[in-house]
Amino acid sequence: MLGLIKKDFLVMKANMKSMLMIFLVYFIMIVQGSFDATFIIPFIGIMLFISTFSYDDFNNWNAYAITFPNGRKNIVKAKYISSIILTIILIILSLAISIIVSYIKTNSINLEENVASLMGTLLSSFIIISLLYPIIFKFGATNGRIILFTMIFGVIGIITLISNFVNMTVFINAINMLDNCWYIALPIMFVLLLGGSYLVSNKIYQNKEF
Amino acid sequence: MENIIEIKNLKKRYDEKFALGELDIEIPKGTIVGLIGENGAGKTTLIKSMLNIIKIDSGDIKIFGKDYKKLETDIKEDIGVVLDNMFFPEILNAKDINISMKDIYKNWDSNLYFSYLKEFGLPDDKPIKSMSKGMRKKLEIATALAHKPKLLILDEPTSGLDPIARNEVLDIFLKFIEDEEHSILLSTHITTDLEHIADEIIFIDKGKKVLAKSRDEIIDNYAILKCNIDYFSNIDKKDIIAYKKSKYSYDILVHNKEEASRKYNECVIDKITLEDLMLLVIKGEKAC
Repeated sequence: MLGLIKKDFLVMKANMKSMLMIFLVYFIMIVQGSFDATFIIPFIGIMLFISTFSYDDFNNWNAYAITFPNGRKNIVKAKYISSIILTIILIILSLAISIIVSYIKTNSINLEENVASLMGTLLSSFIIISLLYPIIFKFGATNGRIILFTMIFGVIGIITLISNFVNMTVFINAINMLDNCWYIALPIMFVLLLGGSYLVSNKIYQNKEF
Repeated sequence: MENIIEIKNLKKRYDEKFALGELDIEIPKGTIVGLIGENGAGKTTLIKSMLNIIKIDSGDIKIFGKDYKKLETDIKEDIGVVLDNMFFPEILNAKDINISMKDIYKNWDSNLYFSYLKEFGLPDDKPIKSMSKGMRKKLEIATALAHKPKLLILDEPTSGLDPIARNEVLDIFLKFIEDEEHSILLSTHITTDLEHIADEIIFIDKGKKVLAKSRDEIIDNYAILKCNIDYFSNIDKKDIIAYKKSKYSYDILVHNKEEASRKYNECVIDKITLEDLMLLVIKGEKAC
């Protein structure tokens, strides 16, 4: 499985060269303060990682990788582990950049605010991964992204519609309660989200034909 | 002779139109077996079934004498594959492949891999997408060989290659088979390749095995009997496997060359090529 993880990082490394300009623009915007590093860096990371699925599809990598020992079992696992590793690396990197940028600007460090913002980003990243990967494994990278965006807009539409008729304070209170015990709630949510998503993806992949 | 692959009653249905039906296949150790058939005959489906890329409906597959369902991982350690248009993302280079593969196969030998790259004249730092078709194919072969497999499964390994690259690739396979423990299953619709290197031929048509014989047996015994239209009625139907009528003559596929040349001495007997055999069996008419 380590070989499959390395392959995804090598694809990202090769792809990064072509995305260097985009990174540079974002970096300048972060330094200028147009973007929050804690927010934008992990999301760029996810987008970069999703490109590995596109390359896989384009070169029929999945069919080839299934011919490896334990290929079918390890491919899904490797994708989840690679993206978790990447997200964590980028979270640490963006925390460091945020601290440096805020120190340069204000001559002070607000670690608590940065960490809270990072936890929010981490949760959002894992939600995206958890929703997107089963869809990509089922429908492929291109179709998967279209389906996900349709789903997101659909969910937003439904919530907006419901909020017109139902009192949402109960849900808001529940979310506020989480605020007090996030250090317990977040890890549980991560495990449930990613674990559940992995099980669904794996189920899809074990029966998939290429 | 010991079999390296034994397939019994393999079934795979895709849709109403195509199914791989109850295939029994045996591939002896130390041989190159050519899988022939027109496009869509089921060659790639058979190979994908053997590698679990697609799920079979029923049947038993044994490779190296081991049950595929129970020991798939073990078996795959000793198989090298070259598949048609299925490989590493083309953004990577040969060095990247080595970094990844050394953690995938227990027997991956980096020195051997780089020596193949050198032998085949392949760059190790250029992305796959910048390579010619011939170079890509050689890279796929180097990758398939570097974990020292006992069996090579090759799907259309020479398609799209010019004659020089094709010969180079075939030479690599001949070198691989010099070790008696090694075997090759090679699927192709370029039948002339197999006339040079294959020991056995398996002919598949519409998902069914039509013929499985040694290449020498086919070349020595099968022939094309050419006769004029009037003479055709004199040919015993039992001697006809298939025939094709043209404007002034008949081409008849027969399987006992010597007997046919004795019985029908007014006809011309032509040597058979695998392409003739394929054409007549697929497109020809049957006598009864």
